Amino acid sequence: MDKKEISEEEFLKRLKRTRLIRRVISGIFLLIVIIWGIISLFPMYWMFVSSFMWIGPSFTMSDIRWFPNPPTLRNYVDFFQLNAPFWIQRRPWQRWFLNSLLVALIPTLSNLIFDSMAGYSLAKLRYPGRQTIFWTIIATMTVPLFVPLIPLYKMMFDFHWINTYWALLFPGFAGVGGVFLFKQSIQTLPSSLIDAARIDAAGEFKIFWKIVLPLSKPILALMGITGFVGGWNSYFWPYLVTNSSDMFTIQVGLTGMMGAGAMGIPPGVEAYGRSFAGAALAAIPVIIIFFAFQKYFVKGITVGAFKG
Amino acid sequence: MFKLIKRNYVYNEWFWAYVFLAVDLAWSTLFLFYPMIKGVIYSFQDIRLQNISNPHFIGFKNYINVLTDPDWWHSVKVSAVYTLGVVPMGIIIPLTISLLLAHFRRSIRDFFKAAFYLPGVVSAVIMAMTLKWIFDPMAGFMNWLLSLLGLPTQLWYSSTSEALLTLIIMNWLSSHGFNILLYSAALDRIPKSLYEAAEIDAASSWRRFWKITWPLLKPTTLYVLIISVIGSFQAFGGAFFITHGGPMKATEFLNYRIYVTFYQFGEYGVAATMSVLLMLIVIAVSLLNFKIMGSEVEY
Repeated sequence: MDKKEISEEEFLKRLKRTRLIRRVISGIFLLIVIIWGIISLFPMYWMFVSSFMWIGPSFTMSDIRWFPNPPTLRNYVDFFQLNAPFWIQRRPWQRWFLNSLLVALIPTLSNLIFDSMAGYSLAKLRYPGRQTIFWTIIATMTVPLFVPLIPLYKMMFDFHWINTYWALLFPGFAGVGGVFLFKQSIQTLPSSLIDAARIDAAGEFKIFWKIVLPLSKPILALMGITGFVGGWNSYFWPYLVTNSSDMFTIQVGLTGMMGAGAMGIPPGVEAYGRSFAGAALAAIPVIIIFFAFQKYFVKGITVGAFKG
Repeated sequence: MFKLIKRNYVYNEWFWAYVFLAVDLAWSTLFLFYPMIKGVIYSFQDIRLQNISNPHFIGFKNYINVLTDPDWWHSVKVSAVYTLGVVPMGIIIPLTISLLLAHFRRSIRDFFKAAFYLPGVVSAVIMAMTLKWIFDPMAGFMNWLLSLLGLPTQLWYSSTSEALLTLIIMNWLSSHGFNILLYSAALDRIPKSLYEAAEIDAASSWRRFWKITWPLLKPTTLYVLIISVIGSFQAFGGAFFITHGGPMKATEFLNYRIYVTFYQFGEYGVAATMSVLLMLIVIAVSLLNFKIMGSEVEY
């Protein structure tokens, strides 16, 4: 009824005004989001920029620029120790990257196999003890890291595994974290498929291999990618169980270069330059993986969260 | 006849179920369940690096020692203050950002979600190193920015009074990508028809938020709350990489204290006691959260 009281001209004017207000509001929203985006990406920008910035012992605030002027590769030369005198023992950075690759790849691959098998068992097979095992797995996920860590560390000593690949790779060979996600995902597969195969007298292992695994490709990809990134980025266990430089992963190497975790005097500002060169090189693989497999990261978050 | 087949079939399923579980179960038992139980046993033992070959039981002595140590209670306080400083922002910022993002086209949303998540894939070592450099008291970007704005420069993590606050600010500024994705996914799941109904009733956007969005987001908020309380009570990286628990124990988190006791002093028994106590604290705080938030949540 109200509509009749205003003229068409007035109506258009009002419509225009609401549209303008809407546009201004969404402009403000966009601005806030952009500003917060810049803030949260800034550390990464600064890490890359600092790797091209010469940071000498006398570097002060007045040397700071938004962009290094002129950019220099000196930090990278320092990180690789290309022009260090011959009597200085070289930083085994090749080993650091190789060890990181092993820590990222091997436990991830074995976890894919064993965790998917366990997840299938918990999701689709019926047997006594199933619920107990599942809830034990859930319960252990809330126990603080250090409760099992201290005895596990001593165990590595007793096995004489400290500073070997056994300690780096073996304990993470199969675990509980992935089982939960695999169980949640495999549960959503139709049981009728599995029952049909069983009527056709297919063996249990064949059912798993030919039916369950091909249908679980998305979760396999997700676990593979996040497992790789998690392994590449892990620092604390490799830090605890290694003590010679050529057993370090790149993350432990960087930790050492920054003097973190030690009780001694931390290095001065000049340590930042070469450390950032190493950090940039260590960050590039995971950034490439992130952009290549973006959707899996996004998916990974919604898989486990609400179906527990 | 049929019964026989059926029983064989069930047996077969049990057998295979345990075959599929075998490796994982063996591994978890050896490298997780057994060390966990052993960790609890350690907490009742006198076990140190010096007497590693003959530990002996001493009852609750470790617990009494830890609970009467003022340094332990100081660490509890540091971790609690850190948790109180970090958790609210860990909900407010992601919630605000994802509400704002919900106004935009899918492509814009996806772009920003990726941008917010990206810092989360870089390792904790690199992130801590970079933040340490940004907040460097002598040559850091933060102080440079402050002096550009004509504000006094700060000592940040090298001052006793500011160190903990600096670690809290670092957490505010570092990525909230994970929680933004969680909230965005939860917002996508809210049926559009609810908002259309509210629009017909001419409800203000403020009312719409409190009457529709907030109640429907409650499970997500509870999840985020519990995960971030558990996480920040076990904060470690900031002390490990940046402050070494200092200056003057100002940032000695519970987990950092455990690490120093265990790894640097070799007091395995005492460190195990502290971790068991930390576990009890975490469980208690999580249950409290459930009680406060969980009563109205339906899954």
